[in-house]
Amino acid sequence: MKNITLGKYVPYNSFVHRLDPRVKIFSMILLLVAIFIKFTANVDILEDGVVKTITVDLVGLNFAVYFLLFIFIYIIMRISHVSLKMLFGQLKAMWVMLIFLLIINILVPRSNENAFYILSNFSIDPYFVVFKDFKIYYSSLFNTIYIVFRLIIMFGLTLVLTSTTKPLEITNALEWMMSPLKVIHFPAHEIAMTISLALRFIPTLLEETERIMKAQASRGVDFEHGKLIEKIRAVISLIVPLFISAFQRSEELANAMEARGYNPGAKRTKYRINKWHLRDTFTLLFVVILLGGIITLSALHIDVLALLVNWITSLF
Amino acid sequence: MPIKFSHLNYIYSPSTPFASIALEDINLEIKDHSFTCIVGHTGSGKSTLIQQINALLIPTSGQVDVNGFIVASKNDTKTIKKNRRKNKLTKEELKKLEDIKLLRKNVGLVFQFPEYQLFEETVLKDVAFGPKNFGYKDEEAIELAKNALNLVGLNEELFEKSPFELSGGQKRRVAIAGIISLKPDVLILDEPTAGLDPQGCQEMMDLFKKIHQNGTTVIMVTHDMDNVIKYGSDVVVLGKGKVLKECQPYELFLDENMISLLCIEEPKCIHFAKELNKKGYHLDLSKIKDVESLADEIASNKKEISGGSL
Amino acid sequence: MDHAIKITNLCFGYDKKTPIFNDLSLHVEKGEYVAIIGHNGSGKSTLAKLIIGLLEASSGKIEIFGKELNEENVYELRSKMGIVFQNPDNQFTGATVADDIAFGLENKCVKTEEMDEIILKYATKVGMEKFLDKEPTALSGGQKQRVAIAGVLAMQPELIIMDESTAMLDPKGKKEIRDIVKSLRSENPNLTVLSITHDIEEAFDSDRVICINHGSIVFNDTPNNVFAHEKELSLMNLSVPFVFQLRNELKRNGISIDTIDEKEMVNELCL
Repeated sequence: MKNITLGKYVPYNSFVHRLDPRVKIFSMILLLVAIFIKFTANVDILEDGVVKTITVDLVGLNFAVYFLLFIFIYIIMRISHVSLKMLFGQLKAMWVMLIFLLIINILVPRSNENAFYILSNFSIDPYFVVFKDFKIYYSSLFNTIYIVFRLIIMFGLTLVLTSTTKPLEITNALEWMMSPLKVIHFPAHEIAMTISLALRFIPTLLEETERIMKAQASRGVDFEHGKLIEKIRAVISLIVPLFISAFQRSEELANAMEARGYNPGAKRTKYRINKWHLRDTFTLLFVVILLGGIITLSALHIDVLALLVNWITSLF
Repeated sequence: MPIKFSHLNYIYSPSTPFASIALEDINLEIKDHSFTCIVGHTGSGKSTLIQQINALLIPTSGQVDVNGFIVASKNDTKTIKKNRRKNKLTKEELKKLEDIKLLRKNVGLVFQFPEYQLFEETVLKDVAFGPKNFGYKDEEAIELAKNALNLVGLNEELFEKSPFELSGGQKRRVAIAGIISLKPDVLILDEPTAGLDPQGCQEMMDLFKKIHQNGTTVIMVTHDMDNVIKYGSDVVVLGKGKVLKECQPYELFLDENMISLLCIEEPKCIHFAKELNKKGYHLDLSKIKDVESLADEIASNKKEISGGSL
Repeated sequence: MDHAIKITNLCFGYDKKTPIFNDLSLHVEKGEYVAIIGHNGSGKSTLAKLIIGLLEASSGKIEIFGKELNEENVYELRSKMGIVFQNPDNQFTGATVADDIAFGLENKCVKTEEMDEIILKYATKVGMEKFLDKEPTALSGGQKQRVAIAGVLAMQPELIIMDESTAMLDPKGKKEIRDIVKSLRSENPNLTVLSITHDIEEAFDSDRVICINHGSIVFNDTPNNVFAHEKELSLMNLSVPFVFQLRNELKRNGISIDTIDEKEMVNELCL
């Protein structure tokens, strides 16, 4: 349990660490939007003598943009002292899911919307035959690879956020973001307080889980091997004590908070207040421009990559 | 069955930014049938050390030998197996090498605040949980559980109650019964008296004394020096992951350097005896275990002094 | 005399069949240091929760600084009291030491700009000023309890209740907390301390010891007078401080000692 480094705050003093948490969260959301933008183009084809417009996937451009985004995030990771090893360590667990995804993508029947455009070569739903009637469409492969790219970038972003921002700062930022909702009696403060208490108790409960697991292991429980029934019993022997102690903790915590004058409805001041710096403005501006650029690019429905390649080759 | 640590190192979260050395080059022998107390600061590695003995933690390098059960890293175990001819290991010994379950049956470990591990519907079922896991039949397990509950002095009326209805001290007894029901050869205790009231402490310690007298090796991690002096036969002092001293309990309190280094408070009776010795008494510190024996020593010493002077 | 706490004819039980307190009356003067002792399960901690208004008495009166505790003034009266509970982990609300000390200040609506100074002041008082940005997992139990005390002190209470605050600590932690309480008392003689404990040595520090068994008061006297009753105390699963134990044991060996001061005892034995 102590080996969990996933999403743990790592104290450094990098540029990213110093950024306002609100900027980091906003930027993360914007960049997440960016990775879900797909580049397509409209192409006229002649089908049964009729001209028909279909949307084709600009595979090359998609990959190019993903690659650029990845480089961008890699640079941010370097600045924030997050190593690629940490990132891929997290992805290791995703393996099975990815294979599953690939299989699903291969087996699901497709419409012929999946027309492709790779550089100048255009084809409708290309495939290759594995044997006899079993075909694998390129679009299945590409769609899976897109997801892999998105996952890598998403994990990278989350990792950067969590390892450069203290959980408390994240909660504070979330509370700030939710504060307009207070008008409609949305309990923004209570939710933020709950999250921050939950975050505060995660390490304590992990420690507790580890201790109970070890205590039960000393009583002969095997958490890794054994039949299903035995495994269920093993889990029960862990869950029951864990819940009992968690309830006890929450009761004691509630008592302690109340005794210290906490009154959820009442007005409170805040110890931690975020200060906005010029660097925050510039960072946010940069990310907005980046997203704007990507949106514009996709709205153009032009294969910019092909144009670029053609232009470069025409130079020589 | 002596427990032998040789060149044991343990590193938490190795090869991460959070890596920290918990134990460094531990060489230690815990004698058979001893009542060994392990003392040291919070964070000196005491809990890490005892968890190696029943393989809850596996050494990063080096090994613990618990009467032929060898707890070592995977690579080290492989090496031992490879050299089985040279080491003249029999097939049985070889099998024992990796049988963690059998090891855990022989080495019972009671964690700090063990009442947090209770989960069954009734007290009896909870205590029988361990024996069942180690392969005893239901009736045998119940029998073992009953014996253990009698040993810890829990009233039979409570056997069918839910463990969560009991008082704090009773819960702890049930949890301890859950371990000793397996009749382990080695009983490891991590701060067994923490949070109990004075009377509860005393009863708990008397229970361990009884178990020790029945021939079980007891290893106890504790901060309570009064218990060390009263019940301990040997003391191991840990500091920053290293063994600082191995001695008999009273010897620890003769070592002024160690006392200030550990910031421990001497047991009151030892402190008092030392004060008297400064003023001309000749109390034998090795005989002082508690207030009672201190008073006896003072009385016999006083007689000697007054007898001599008369 | 001004009473810090005055309890008259208090009755309370979690359920009707098993009353915990039946007609309990006691009082604590302003500036007094009172220890309440009793074995586990004697109802000591319930009493603390009643005083701070976390539980409501079924009948009887609890007065805090002359005002009767009721639902309306519970927040006002709580601002005069601070309580330190037993489990160091379960009362640490903040992500760091500074945040935890700030928690009470936030509730009190202290201005953000003023907080840092207050936090530093009280963290220094308990010797935790170097740990302000440390997380609770990096602290020992004793350190967490020191932070809890700082959090209570920052609210400038007139009454501090220690509800078995040292029970889960190692001897070093226990000693630290005891020393802090002693120094707080010497700094501010008006501070009332109510210590609920089963640590006999800790109770020995107090001005007055109240011994509770099965919800009623058995002894209510100076420590010296209370601990003279070793037999009665041991029947209630309580022990007596070392000097009292030794005095009794010596008596058994035919040596009678009058004093209960450790140093004087040594001198007396050397006559």
